Amino acid sequence: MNNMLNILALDLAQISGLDGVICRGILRLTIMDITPGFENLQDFTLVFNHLAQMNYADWQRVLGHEVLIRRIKNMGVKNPADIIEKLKQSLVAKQSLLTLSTR
Amino acid sequence: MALFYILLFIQIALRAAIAVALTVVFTRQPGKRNLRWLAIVFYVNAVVAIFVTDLLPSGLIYFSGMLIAQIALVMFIHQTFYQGRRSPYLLFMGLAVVANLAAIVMALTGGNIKLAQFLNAIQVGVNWVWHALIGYRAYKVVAQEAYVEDWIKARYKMMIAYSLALVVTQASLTVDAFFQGNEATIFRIVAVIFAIASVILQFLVWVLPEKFRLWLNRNYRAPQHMEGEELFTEEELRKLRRG
Repeated sequence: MNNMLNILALDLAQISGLDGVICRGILRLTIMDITPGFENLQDFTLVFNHLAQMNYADWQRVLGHEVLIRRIKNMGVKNPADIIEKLKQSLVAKQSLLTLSTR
Repeated sequence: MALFYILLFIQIALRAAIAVALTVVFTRQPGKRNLRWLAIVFYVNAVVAIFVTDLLPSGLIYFSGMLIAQIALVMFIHQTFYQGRRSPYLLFMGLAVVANLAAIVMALTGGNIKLAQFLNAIQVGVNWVWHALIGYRAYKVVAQEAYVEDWIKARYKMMIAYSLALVVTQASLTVDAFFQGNEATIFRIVAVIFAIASVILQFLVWVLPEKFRLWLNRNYRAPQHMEGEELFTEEELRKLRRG
């Protein structure tokens, strides 16, 4: 289980009103879109290994990417920019998790 | 005295083990750059502890090592807890540099070594207070999160505990700097006990033996609704939404 992905997905669900599974999927798809070589990957072991190694700068890049705004908008959510700002604040508040969950 | 040396060498061995474990982790996960700073803290502390024994008296090497270790600790705290927000790391860095440089100058010029030890202990104690406070603040944010496993929450708590143990260690050493004879011995004993406790906790946090991690996590049950998600495409996610 990848903690930061699940936590940000839950935060996104609470902020946007979307289901948690959908939010997790949106975040994961965005990461796959913007990571070279991951665009059409079906092996989720590789995907989740990559997720486990992501640092704060990687997550910041994901949350700042226009692909994420587009995916959230595609789900029919209004004000995706506001939602992403709140997600960024969540990442800042919970960044230590990226270190404390490392092993 | 023999017990003192045994305990000191246990500390050195544990710190070296922690440093090696952290090196293995950041080698496998090069994105976790903050762990390099933490590894430096433990490598340096393992080495400078040798110079506490009076077998090789050298205040210059000890205080030089402490300067490096404290700068590394400040950078670890900054990169672990303060990215994307204002950080007081330059203040703590300045304190570390001033206090330890003063101690180095005193060691070089044959000045007041007790004062040098006092300055060093105060500065190190301040860093560990900061680490404990910021660790507690970070823990409060994740404490209620269902997706944060129990072993991770325990890691936060142990990290806060060892930071506080090191504050007690430094406080004891600070007071020790002003006493002689039996009073000094009492404070030194307190410092050694809390230093041992802290290094054991540090080992459990950063080496985290797998059996210990599983034991910490024995009662954890992951929330159900996120499980079983395959690699849905966006279209499949939209269908889930409509459903």
